[in-house]
Amino acid sequence: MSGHVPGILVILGWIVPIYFLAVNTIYAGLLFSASAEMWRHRQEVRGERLWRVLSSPVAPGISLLAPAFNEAATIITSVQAFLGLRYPNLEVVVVNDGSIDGTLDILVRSFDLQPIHTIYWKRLSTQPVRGLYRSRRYPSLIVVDKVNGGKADALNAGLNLASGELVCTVDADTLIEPDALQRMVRPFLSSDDILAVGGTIRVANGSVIDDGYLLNCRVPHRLLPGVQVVEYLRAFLFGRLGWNKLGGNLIISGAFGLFRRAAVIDTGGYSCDTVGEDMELVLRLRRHGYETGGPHRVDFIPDPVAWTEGPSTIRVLGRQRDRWHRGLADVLWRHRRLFLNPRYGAMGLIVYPYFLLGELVSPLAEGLGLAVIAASVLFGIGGWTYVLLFFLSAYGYGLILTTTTLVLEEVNYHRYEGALNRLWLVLWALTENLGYRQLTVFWRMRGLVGWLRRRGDWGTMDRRGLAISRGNDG
Amino acid sequence: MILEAGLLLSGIAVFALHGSWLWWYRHRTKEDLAAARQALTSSLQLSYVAPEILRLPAALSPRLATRLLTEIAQSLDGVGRRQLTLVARELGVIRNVQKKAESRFWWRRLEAARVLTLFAVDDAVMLRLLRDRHPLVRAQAAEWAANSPTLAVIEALLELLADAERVSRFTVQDTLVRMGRSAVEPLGAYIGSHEGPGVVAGLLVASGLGDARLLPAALARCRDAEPDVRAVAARVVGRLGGHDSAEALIGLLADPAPEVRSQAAAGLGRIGHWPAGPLLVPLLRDSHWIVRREAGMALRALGAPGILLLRRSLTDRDRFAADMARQVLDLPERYEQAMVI
Repeated sequence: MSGHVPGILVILGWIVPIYFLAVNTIYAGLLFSASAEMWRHRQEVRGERLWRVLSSPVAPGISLLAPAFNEAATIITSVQAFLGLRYPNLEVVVVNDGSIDGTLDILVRSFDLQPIHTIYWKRLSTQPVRGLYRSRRYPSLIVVDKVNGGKADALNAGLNLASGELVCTVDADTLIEPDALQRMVRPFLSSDDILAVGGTIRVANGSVIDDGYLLNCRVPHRLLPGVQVVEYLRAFLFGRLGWNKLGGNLIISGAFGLFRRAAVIDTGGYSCDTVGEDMELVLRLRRHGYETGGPHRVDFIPDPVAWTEGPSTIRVLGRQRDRWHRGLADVLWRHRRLFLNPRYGAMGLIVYPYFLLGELVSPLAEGLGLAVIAASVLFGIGGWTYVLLFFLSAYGYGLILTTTTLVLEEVNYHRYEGALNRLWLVLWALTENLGYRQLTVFWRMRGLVGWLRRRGDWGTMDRRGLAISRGNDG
Repeated sequence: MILEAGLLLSGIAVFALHGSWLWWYRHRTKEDLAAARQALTSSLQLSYVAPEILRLPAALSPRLATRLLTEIAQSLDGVGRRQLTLVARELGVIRNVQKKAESRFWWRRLEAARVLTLFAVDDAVMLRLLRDRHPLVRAQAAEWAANSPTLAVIEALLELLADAERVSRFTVQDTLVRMGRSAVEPLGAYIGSHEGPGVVAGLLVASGLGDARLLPAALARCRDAEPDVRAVAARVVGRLGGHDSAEALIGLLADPAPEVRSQAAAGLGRIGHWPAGPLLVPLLRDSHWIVRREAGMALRALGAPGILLLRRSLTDRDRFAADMARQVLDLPERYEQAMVI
């Protein structure tokens, strides 16, 4: 047996770098596609005046759905920010999902809510709704009070009640830029084939926020949130944008997405039995579109932005990444008939296989690569050759793509002004692979094991809230 | 490895230096832009182009000059905008943009269309761009058209109601609504004479315009072969019509398409045609929720006769009808306390 070990190590020593070369080459293709998309998008919006959407009687109505569970600390600021969004025909539906910290009482007092009676079609079954309220001061604000059922259940309750042609799903603590909805609605005005649109989410840690508005964009000076800034830029500015032309997206973040309400209801709303409910919905919507010959495009546009608080402790970040990977595994398994199925076009032939082999399996490959390095050193095989191969293919190539993403962000948006901010971004991009990335490999593998063992919980996400931040306090 | 390191260092260098370059560029042009802005805004009070304005091109590049003028134009209207247009002509900005309007690249034509829209010039160029091959350019030209409600422009817009691209259709619809009375008669003629997807778009515009002169065209479309057309026509009739239009809506209560039945019921409620009450009651048993809801709300809107019919429906053998009647009767008297989705 021990005689075969060197042979196995040699084989694995080649397979793993080849895997990463292949994955990173796909990333490079995505980056190229994303650059072209970004250029095209910039040409389309340059000099555009959004006032027309603001005041048009034929612009589609949007219902913004914000599920809230125990958000007493931040709910007032969040709802005020939602009500301040610049969109003419906007309805804000806050779903109080059985909070036990007085969230509803705060809402009732702060927004002068009064109980209302209504006739609405409960097409999606949810936990019982205890009451409906509308604000006397802000008639476009509706609050649904219901028995706790989880985020997906709360969103379904909101969908039943919403009246807009489009629904925007957000997390209650997400900060959305005031003109984000005007930008998000553009694809729906451009094409009848659009089912849903996702926008960019950025990490707000370290930035200056006051009263729910982002005043000054800054890169955090702490490792965990800092690296997440780079990760999110990479994920959204090339990971999502690149797929627009290559088969469309499979994920729209639950923190910020815009959907055709009728399509979501027709396909049964959000699934309550998965932790990847946002990806599961998108996949189901797209499948339904392909199967019925209806709309099936899901686009991403880079310039409407929402800000979220990234976890700042290892424990909470680990739970989040664990949950994300469990969700990914679960959703890909549920929709496994898409795999290489020509009936679903590019989604089945390109996008799904990539997510399966390039995203789901990648922590295994990376973990294996690290194990091979350790074993090679132990057995004295291959020397530095394997180490170099692995690092060049897995990390070096990836670092180039990350840096290119930073260039894209800088040239097109320039949100992080000042040399110091740029220096921090470069620092976090360089240090991402020195421990942080390996930690995420561990968490994602844990998530995969957890899925295999049928764990279905969300874990606890501790948040400080984004109501006020003086910047770089974490 | 050398290649990777080289690419990495190049990327970092571009990233780091771009911001510095941008800062330097803004700093360099800041004073010139401020002086130009001051000179331009002062010149808006005059009825001629002041000599110092003509010296601006020496200080600003054509791109910056165009950017500055379009930035100021967005805040102006009326006399101020006309004066700025005069300045733009004298500086050659309009001429440069007109050349771009003939470019074979869609993004240059789009840029030209946006600038020409701001300065509200060049009917001939913009009319041509209404027929451009790129939908965004057509849409931008349609936006320009809102300020030029001539018959030729309106007719060109009406043809675009059947545009395959939604962005163009949306802007055309919006522009026609903004044009108001000027568009009413041509729109009515269009709805009456055309077929196809443009008719639905035209009827939606009619709904937005709310002009009673469009009622005959909408009434005629209530008999259209397409259910989408009939549904929107019923909506328009409900908004614009009176008791003499009720007959057409009553005829649609038995339509095979649920969206048509629901719009017809809603229209009768809006008109307040109480003799239709007994004809709305059977719709409380309709298999589609939206039809039942609209029938219930229409009965409520008819006042006492409708309320009486709803109360009788509380004991209807069809439990869906009884349930809808109960829900409608449970709504508060003050409508603003009720919320109908």
